[in-house]
Amino acid sequence: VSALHTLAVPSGADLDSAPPVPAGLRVVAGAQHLSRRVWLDTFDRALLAKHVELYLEEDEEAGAGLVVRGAGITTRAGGPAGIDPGGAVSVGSLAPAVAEVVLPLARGRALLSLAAAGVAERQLAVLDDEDKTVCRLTTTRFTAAGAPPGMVIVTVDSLRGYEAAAEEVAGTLAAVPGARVVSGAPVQAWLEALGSAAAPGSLPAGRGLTSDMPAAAAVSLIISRLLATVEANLAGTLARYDTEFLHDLRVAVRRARTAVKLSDGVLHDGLRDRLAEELKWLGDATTPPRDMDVYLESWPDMESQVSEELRPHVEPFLRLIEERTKVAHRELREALGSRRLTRLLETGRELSEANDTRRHTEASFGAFVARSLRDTLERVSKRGRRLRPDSPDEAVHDLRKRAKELRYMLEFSEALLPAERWAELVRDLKALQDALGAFNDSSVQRAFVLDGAEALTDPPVHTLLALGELRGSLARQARQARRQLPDRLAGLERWRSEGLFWDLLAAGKDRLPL
Amino acid sequence: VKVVAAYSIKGGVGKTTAAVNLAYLAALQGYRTLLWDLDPQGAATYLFRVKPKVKGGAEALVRRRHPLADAVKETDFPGLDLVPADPSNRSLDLLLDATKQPERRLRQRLQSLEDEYEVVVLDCAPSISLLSENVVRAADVVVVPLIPAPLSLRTLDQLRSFLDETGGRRPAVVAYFSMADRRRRSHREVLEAAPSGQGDISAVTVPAASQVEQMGGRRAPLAVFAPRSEAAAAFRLLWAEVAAAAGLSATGPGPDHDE
Repeated sequence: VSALHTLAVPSGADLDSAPPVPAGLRVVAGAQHLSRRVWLDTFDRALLAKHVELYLEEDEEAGAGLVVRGAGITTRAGGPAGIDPGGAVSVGSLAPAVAEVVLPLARGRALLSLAAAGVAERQLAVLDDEDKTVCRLTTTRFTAAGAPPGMVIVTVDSLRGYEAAAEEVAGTLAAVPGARVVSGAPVQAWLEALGSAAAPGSLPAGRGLTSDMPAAAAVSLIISRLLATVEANLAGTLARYDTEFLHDLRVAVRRARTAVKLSDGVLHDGLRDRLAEELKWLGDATTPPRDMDVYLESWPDMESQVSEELRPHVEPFLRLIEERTKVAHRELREALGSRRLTRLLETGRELSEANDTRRHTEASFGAFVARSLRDTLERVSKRGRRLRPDSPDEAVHDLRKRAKELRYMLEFSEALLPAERWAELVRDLKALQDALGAFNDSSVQRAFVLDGAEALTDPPVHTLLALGELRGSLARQARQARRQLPDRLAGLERWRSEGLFWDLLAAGKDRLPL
Repeated sequence: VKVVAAYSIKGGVGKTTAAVNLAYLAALQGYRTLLWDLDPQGAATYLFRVKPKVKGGAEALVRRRHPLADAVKETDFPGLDLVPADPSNRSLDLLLDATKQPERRLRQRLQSLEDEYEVVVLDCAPSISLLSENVVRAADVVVVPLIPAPLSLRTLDQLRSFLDETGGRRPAVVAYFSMADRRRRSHREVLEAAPSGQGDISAVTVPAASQVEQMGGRRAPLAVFAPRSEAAAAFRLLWAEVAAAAGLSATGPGPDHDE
């Protein structure tokens, strides 16, 4: 049996006893199954994105259990004790059969309760004139306090060899007034109707922007959306459910800083300066805790770079990282709980509606995009051409920052550019960014190891030797990353030298003014 | 994949009853099972309520250019699929004869489904023919129903000779008494005299029971509508023997069978 279609049908239709089916077929309804479910997913809905549902179920027949359903699998196991609504589930408490399916999809992110509802499910068999089942229907109704009443989700499952019959049945159901085809698990359709299918703050900053809209309005909207992402990740960052909350918050700040930086001549200078200052403050506040998170996460890898003989002696350095992590997160919590951040987030909300932000009313978003992309590519290219094997590390870091600006600008303007060419440019840019990132990580870590060694109180000589080895290894990694740069730069440079970049702009959906 | 063929030189001995019930029990135990109805009469197809029609007919079942998977129909029972009969299965012999390596064609056709199924049950038309040779060459176990009548052991001997003559890999044989009616003296005498439980003759006897006859009306395997009947119990025992002869675990596939 495989799921063929999922439809959302208005609840007025009599689907449980007499759903409409094509002539010559009849329906036999099974018993209704009632349960209460709490769905769990990562903040970015990684499970539902793969059409996999994870839920804690209370059911009269089967009792309490944790169920994974989707991708052709249904697994039920004893649930983790006491999931706190809104809290994270301990990954270690998951039954192995559940963990095996869920953890690879969750990619290290915490599993949080997403929604709760009463669920009434009924299976129906559609039979032909021989009373052979030719397709199966499952009707699902969700009820939750505060949720609008509404629809029945009908899943049409085809049986092998009877796909045509299932298609016909789905077609008949789709013809019910008000019915629509939906994708994914039934709960996704329900969440969609509630407006909570996507993670809060997950709207791409440039979604739906058009070339002819005023640049000031578009840039304001971009910044506003990015600050909404910051706000959406606040609770998870404070609770430290997983390290991705802080990462996503920080990336949103960086993107917003880029938008503000490039908005010279678009936004009022006063607004622009204020945003730049506040975003820098917030970005700076996130740097130490993010660095510490990365050190802790990459600790097994760092430790493995020390020879086996000295590895046990590197332990004091790990303790130092743990202590600094605590301090860094305590300071971050202060910043995130401050009035200063509240005001910044208010500004973000105002920006989405503001119409007095513009400086030059005549500038269109298309013109802004064309200019900003050209300038950012030029800056990356210029720094790349200047880079020599003996250039100081600062030159590489500068190149890395400019590449980020280009990447973010490309993200903001995705809606305006042809998808395939856009993806090609992003791929070439990403290859360069990966090498730059590897170089940056190694050199920042190397500096941190030295700093850490100095901070240790009376470190044993073996610990210092171990840290020396680690620094040596990180230096080798940095050199290796640097060696990759010429090739990666050449991949990006052809966009400029061969005129590909201009083709990209000229082929833009809204033909960007060049 | 393990191939189990329900086969008899003689007709009307309970061959389809065996194929349907054994396939159902294999699926019930967790084996991904396919029942291939090769008999043009299509009784197994009828019992699973599937229409006796294969797109392209028997030719599609024999020719390589038609994937066998396209003919598969999912039954109403989890884990059990069916390749239905088609009236043109009457010409299977002729069609097989026209292929290269005609005596191995069935095995070759089944190879394409090896990843999908763990057990394939063949329900064959009664005869000794090119199709029979194909069935024998494809099978790991040949299940032979015998009516408890004086001539039935002779039929089994004929089959043994046929297997010897066919050469190559010899499938295991599990013969059993079918449609046994102990009220009939002739049946009683044969059952008492026969070497049941020895060699390739199973100790299992499937009785001539009304429930078995009801399969035609209920259009379902015995275990579905008469799970506590003597006949259903006999088929469970028979399946255990067949599974053992095929080298399958008596407790069903292990937890790693999907890997």
